[in-house]
Amino acid sequence: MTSKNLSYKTLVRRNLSSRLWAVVLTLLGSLSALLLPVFVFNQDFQRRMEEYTHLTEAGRTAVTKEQILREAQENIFQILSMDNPFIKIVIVFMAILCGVAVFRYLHDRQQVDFYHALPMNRGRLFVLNYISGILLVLPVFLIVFGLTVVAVMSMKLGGLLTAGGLIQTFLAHIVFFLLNYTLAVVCTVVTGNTIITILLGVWAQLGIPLFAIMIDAWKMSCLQTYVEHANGWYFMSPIIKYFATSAETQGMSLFGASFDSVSGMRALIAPTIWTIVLLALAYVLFVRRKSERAGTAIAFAPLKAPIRWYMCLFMGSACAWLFKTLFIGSDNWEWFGLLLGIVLFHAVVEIIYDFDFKAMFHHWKQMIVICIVAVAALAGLRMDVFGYNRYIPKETDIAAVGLWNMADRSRYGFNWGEPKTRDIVPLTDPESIHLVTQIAERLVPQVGQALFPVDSETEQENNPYTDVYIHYELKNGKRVSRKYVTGEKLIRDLLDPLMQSEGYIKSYMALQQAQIPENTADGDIRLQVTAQMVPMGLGTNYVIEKTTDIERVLDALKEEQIRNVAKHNQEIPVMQMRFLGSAEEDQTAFEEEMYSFLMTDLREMSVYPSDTQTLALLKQLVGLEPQPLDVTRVEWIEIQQFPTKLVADSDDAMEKLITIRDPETIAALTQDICSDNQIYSAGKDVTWENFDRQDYLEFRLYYRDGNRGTSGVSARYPKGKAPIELLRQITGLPLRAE
Amino acid sequence: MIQTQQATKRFAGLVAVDHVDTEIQKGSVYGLIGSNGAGKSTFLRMLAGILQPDEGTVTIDNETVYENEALKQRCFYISDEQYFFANSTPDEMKSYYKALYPHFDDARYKELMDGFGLDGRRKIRTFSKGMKKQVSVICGISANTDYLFCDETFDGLDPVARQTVKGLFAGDVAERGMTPVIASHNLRELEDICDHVGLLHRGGILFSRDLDDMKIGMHKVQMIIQQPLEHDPFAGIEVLKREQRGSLHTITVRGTREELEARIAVLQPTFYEMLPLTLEEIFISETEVVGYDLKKLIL
Repeated sequence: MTSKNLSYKTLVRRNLSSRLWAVVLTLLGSLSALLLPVFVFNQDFQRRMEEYTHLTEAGRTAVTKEQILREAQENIFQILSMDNPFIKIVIVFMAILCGVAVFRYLHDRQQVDFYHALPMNRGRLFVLNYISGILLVLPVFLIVFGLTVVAVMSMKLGGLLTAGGLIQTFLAHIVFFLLNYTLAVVCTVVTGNTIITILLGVWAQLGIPLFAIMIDAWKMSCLQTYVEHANGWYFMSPIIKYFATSAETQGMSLFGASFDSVSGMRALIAPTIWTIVLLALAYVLFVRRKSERAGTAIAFAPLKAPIRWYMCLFMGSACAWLFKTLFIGSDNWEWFGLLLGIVLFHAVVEIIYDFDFKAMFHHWKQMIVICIVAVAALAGLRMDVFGYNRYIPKETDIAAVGLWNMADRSRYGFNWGEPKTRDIVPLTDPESIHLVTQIAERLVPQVGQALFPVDSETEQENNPYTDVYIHYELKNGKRVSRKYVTGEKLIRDLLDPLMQSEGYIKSYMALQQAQIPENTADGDIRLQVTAQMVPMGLGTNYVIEKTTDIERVLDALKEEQIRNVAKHNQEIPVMQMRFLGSAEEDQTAFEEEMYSFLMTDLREMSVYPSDTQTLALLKQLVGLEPQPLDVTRVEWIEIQQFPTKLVADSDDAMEKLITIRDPETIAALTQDICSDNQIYSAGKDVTWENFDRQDYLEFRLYYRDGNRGTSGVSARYPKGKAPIELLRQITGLPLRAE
Repeated sequence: MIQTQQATKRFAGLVAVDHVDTEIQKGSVYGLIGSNGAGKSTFLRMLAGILQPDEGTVTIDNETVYENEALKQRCFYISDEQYFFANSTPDEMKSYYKALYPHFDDARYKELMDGFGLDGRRKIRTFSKGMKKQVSVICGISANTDYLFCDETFDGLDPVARQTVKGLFAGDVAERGMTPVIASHNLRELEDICDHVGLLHRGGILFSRDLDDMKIGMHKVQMIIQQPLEHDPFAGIEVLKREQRGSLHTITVRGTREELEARIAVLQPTFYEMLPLTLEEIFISETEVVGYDLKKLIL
């Protein structure tokens, strides 16, 4: 063994022995977060199994041994997965504590002189200390983690655990420990005082997410067309990222029982890269750090100005928000808050830098510059000097567009869900791009203008307005979104020419993409036709097996989708169809693979009353015609009522649930009712009865569903079709049709 | 040989060491004196490789000290505020130093610990200030380095320990050519050990001289003369200092011993003797020459 290695070992041992408290804390924390809960859950499991043996037969049908075992296994899984918040708290706490403790000597001149006079260069000293900090925690954690796994296996409660999942969970804890530890080291090296280290640590952990939130808040407040979207900056905090990484969080990690090792490991790439970057930064800063900076607030003078600027702008902005919230309706207070925040926090930062109250205005010229910059930035944002609201990309720069109309929740070019640019399923043809940019050009002049008089409710009801989101994907890969507020009618008038054009329907409607592959044998792909618009298994079905017949129906439906597009907007579908695999094939597996051979993932196809050609063909091929809901199969109806203003002061103001079991009443109530399949597929011009918006009723039909018991289906009445009188009698509410 | 060229160190706008040029010969005992805040500790910390000069160079045997691991194995720094690991014992500190200094002498350590009557297994936190200082010195000497940088090392040591430490330094200088650089604000501490002295004031070095050189041609005489002096008996030779209390005259002059004795013989004193010059007196004379009042600079 070389003398260098020997000295390394001696020095690391010295570092560890002088910080045994960290080892003890890690041991206690890990035991409390891992091993102890395992024993508690095992004890609970044993008790429940013991109780089970004394249960009656009826009790045993309510809960089975397997259920008890499964619950215990799930609890154990949670402890040894990324879903255990307690071990995360221990890891984060120890990471920060050790990071600060090991490098804290830099804040004390006496210790700096001692260490830096030793025949050891800074690089070696850094490595030595860095490794010491890790060794204070990770070996103990590894042992306790291993012991916990052994304990779980000996208790036979590890049914949901996999070796891969355990290893990767352990790796994830290590990676996040190292990330938080290295960040704490950077903060300790950058500062010359431990209190300032803690303040800087809080800032390093939360500064970026808070700044992103603040920027978003100002944009939302000042820019009428700003679209809020999930911001990756919110996760630019090691602690937030660590706690957000759970066993089943999609996109973050998949540390579950059915662990996908590739996806799970992918979630660790970013934290690992960040750890390496921070480690390199810590090393460079440590080596370059001047010994004489011990005891000062910030060890690197060039960092003082950026931190001062950040603190002043951020806190000024926060103060502006505070005053804006406290004094609604007056912009002057917002400006006052902005300036007050900057002056106040400039003074605070200066006092901290110099540890001297008299230093509060040391850089007063810089403070004035910050004030001017902040005022200019806010004024610029308010007046939209950069033309954010007016911005429309050049058509030649656009690769794709998407549009979301909140009024009828219709989407053109992207999927259901939040109006986020990442959800765009792009419209890429020049006509669609041209039309959407034209719509944007029509809407831009309306930005910031009052659409209706404030008090004119009638005006708003007669001519309601809506939020319209337009998304652009530019050819350079950038994604841009804008939100506009405009009249529903206007947007419909603008959109209809596109939506009803043959080109659009052929290019983007899922039905039009559906193709039966050549040489498909009869029965390989089947078409199920249901005579009612009810959930699967509740209607009268017929299955077409012959491929040529399926193709004929499909062609007819495609043709009528184009021809009847305007009529479909006003219709409620009357029949439905869906593709099935061969009789032997599992339907779920077939639907998962459907897109690859049918070129569509359309699960259900609706047939409307105006699709006469398709309806005639279906009658000819399978003898099926549209049929009303089979009332005889409805077991009972539940009406849940949410009374609002008419009975708000009475004792009946609570929501009520009424169950109707009388067949005659059920028949009367279901005469014109539409099930949720119909509601979902109905044209966007179809309106539904809201009972004059005074009392809100929810209807649920319960069907006999073969051997499976009953199935509940939501239902609504088309406007003007509700049996108002009967419902008045049933509910006791003074209902009125709209 | 330690050499500094234009070595400068600034702390937040304050110049602690200001363009210092000096040379310290190997095997000499160099005393670094100056008032509080003169920059002695900063200069010593630069020599020990703790601080990097903002300007100029600090070299030992023609190598830069800062971040020079091999060179620093030949240097030991004893701080004015010693640091020991929490709850450590002298033996533990010894083990730590031993891992870092390749020539650390275990036997010497034990011998010195026994000699000073210190228990190597006792917690250092239970030691007095002087005992802690002794532990530092023992570790420093046992490290067997070529250069030893001592910052106010004699502060807190009792007179016996002080003399012992000086003896140890002198022994190592004589035996293995160790070069101690000792910073102090107290001239009297250094005068019986240093053979070379540098005076720092406000970050700058006023001068750096060999003590023997300074003593050559400088004498202090005390004599009792009964009859009043009618004329200046020392006219023509340089009198650096002159005091008279009744018939007792004390003078410090430059010149050869023979010439001085000839002048005294003319005066027929009742008694006279040639006194040894203190370091302070030498410095007073030297600094006065360059226009400084030493009493304001040092104790």
